[in-house]
Amino acid sequence: MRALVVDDSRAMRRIVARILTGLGYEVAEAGDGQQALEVLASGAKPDLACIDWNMPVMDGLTFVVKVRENPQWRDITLMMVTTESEHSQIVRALAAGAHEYLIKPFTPDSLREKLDLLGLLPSEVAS
Amino acid sequence: MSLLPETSPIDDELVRAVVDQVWESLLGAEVVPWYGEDPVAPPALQAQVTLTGDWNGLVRLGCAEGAAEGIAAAMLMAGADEELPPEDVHDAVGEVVNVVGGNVKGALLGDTALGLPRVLTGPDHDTRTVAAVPVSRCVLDWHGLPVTVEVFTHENTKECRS
Repeated sequence: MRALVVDDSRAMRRIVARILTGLGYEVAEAGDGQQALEVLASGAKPDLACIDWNMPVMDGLTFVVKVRENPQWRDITLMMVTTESEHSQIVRALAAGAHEYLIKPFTPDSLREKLDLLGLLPSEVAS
Repeated sequence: MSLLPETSPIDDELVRAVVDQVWESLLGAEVVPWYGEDPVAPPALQAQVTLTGDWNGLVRLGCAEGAAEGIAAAMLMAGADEELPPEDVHDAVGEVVNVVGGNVKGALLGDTALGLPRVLTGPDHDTRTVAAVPVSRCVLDWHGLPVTVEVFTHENTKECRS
């Protein structure tokens, strides 16, 4: 399985990528929504995108909207991974097309649980 | 001791709870209070994030470079022989203050936006005069070095708390 981690923090990208790699994912990274769109436009077909909300150039919510506007990318599961914890923000993200929402700070187990809910745990690690 | 004005929506208890959670989840560490001399001089490094909207203020983490390096190494689970470049250290502490700021924002009602984190070093980086009113301050011990986590507000802040 393949994942795209979109976060302006290299540290956070490294943390998320380490967890996903440990679960068997191949991971690509992008530093903002615009870079992530370019990764997708280059032909990458991730099963999952983990997306920060607050980023320069293009924020995560705008990225979600852009992905959902393109039928070629409809199979990508979108999960917000963000400090935006208010209910209103969660509703906005889900309404825009995100499938799941993980609030920072999170533990590896909480990310894994979200993937399990989404049916995106690789079969060899699924319980 | 709380520096909290009576009408402030944010208090030491809230900030400490947020810091506890961030330290545990992001750094894999327990918060240890600082029992040494209060660090009054501006720290060598300040990571800060602004909150703007119905509540206006600033969350700031200040520490020496050595503490920042330790925080970054813990966050990134760096090996003992791995020397992180300064940009990775600054990025990591910026993300720490971003997560603290986001969770402080989560305790507020109303429409408040979180800015992007900034990490400042050098002689002109102290922001105490910009964000006028101290709201909360805790000093933590990071392996023998003090780390301050502070929240300031501006006077036009409205009252709002969930």
